[in-house]
Amino acid sequence: MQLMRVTEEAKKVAGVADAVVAMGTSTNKMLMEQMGLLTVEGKAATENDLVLAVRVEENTRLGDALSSIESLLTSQQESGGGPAGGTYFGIATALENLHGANLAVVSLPGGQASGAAEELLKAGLNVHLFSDHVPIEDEVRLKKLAAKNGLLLLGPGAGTSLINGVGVGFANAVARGKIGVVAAAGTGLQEVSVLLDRVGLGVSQGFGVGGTDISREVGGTMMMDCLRLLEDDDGTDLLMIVAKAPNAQVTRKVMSFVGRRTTKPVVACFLGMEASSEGRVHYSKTLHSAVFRAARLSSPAHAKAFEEKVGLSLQGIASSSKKYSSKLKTGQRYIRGLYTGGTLSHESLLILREVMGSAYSNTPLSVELQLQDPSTSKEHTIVDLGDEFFTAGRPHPMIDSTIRRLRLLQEAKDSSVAVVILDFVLGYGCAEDPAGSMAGSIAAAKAAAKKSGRDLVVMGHVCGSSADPQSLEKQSKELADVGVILYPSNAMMAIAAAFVASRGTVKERIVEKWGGLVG
Amino acid sequence: MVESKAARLIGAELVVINVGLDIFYQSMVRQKVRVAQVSMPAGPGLEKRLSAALDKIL
Repeated sequence: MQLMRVTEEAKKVAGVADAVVAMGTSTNKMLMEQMGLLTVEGKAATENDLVLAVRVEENTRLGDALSSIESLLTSQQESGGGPAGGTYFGIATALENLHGANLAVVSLPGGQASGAAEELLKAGLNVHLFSDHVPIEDEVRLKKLAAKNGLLLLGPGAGTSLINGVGVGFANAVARGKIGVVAAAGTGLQEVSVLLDRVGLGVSQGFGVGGTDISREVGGTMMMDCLRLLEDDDGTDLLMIVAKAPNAQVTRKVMSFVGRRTTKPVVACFLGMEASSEGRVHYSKTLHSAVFRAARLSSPAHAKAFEEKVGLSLQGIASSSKKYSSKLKTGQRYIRGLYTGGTLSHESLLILREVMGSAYSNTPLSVELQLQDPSTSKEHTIVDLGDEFFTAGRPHPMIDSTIRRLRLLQEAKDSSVAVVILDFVLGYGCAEDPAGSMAGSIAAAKAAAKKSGRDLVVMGHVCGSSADPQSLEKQSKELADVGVILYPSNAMMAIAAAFVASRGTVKERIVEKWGGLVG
Repeated sequence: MVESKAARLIGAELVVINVGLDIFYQSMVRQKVRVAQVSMPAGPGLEKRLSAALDKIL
């Protein structure tokens, strides 16, 4: 992570055109090769070697650039060790020195994560387990240990939580409020919390429980424990559940629990499940419609705010899309989604299935739509760049944009591509400037398409708030400046992309599905 | 059953032990949360042995 930060700083050094500072893993060497930065020495590097590869602009002395980057490395080392509670090299020592600890955040590699989580649970701490690749048997065992000790084990694979207003993991700076969220979907919680914030609502607590909590083996145990906490919390008036649709057995179990153990209104967004209402329980198909439902349940003023700030009209989308598609060549027919957020990518796949028929993916909705090679798109494709294939030995794309920048340039060369859709996830833990790190590549992609006599429509959704460290407004402006068309929600962006790529021929299907998708 | 320590977490001041990525430690500092960073380059078992060995030396 420190090296990634040094890489970003190195790119800003005067005279440096491109730079990579990374360990010599095979994934990093592959990326350097794609960037034209893999030298003979770089090829010979091993996982234990630090590679510093730099391309300098004309009239810049390589030695000067290298010296500047080396001093960046030195300053990173010197700044190690922190304020607050300090830095320790063992859990026991940290516990001895930080009195009153009540939450641990664990982001070790999967192999080490279970042991650390167990040690922390035994010490009486609630645990937010960000790490994934934890064996399911370990998850079941750790959750039993947590339950026995009256503790939370959020995760494994818990990307986001909002506890007492503090963002844990990848989380946005959003207003506190009366809506309690339990999410088995990290960017799902981020999208819901920023949309609630945008319409003047807020989150009392947001618990990320990790996607495998709702697997058949785990059975939604932590989701139900968190719902019980929120039901008993005086600061929570409305409950929201956000998850990719679990299997039918787990859904029945969780919703039966909701019926027995809760009394507050519930908005359940099991992505893709048909919208309906049963008494105080309201099902929503998308993140967008779940927040709209929560706004309507909160007050007419919040519902109105949602319509004004997040909801776009069908007519408005149709008319602007006509303008964007008018510059496309006949052969430009496909949508390419390059996502950093897994749940946002899943939401777009669901929407495209409803309105376009299907889309290929490395994380597809059905087996026949699996990309044979995740590095190569086919027809309509939505890629989750946070998936293991792209992150093995690399930082997550929400932190490091390298893989997405290269993929965007690759898509721009494909003359069948009409629209590229991108998410920009802001918040604590995320990259310092997600828009800025992509802006140059977006401009280059559009320029490359133009050089080939084509227009390339690039759409974006910024999942962020005004209070985020990166600032929603600042990020939006950076993107608009390079010609990105922005949408207030991911769902709206996916619908607009379908309009543009199809030249409006899917309008009837969208009209038919509109209420379920964004109503 | 998650009452007790889990229920007491709600509304309490968060005091966090961050084990792993420095970026999450930094985000806690930025949010003015009391936090300690645990860096564990090796397996936890080895860390315990190292820690015990260091305790003896120091």
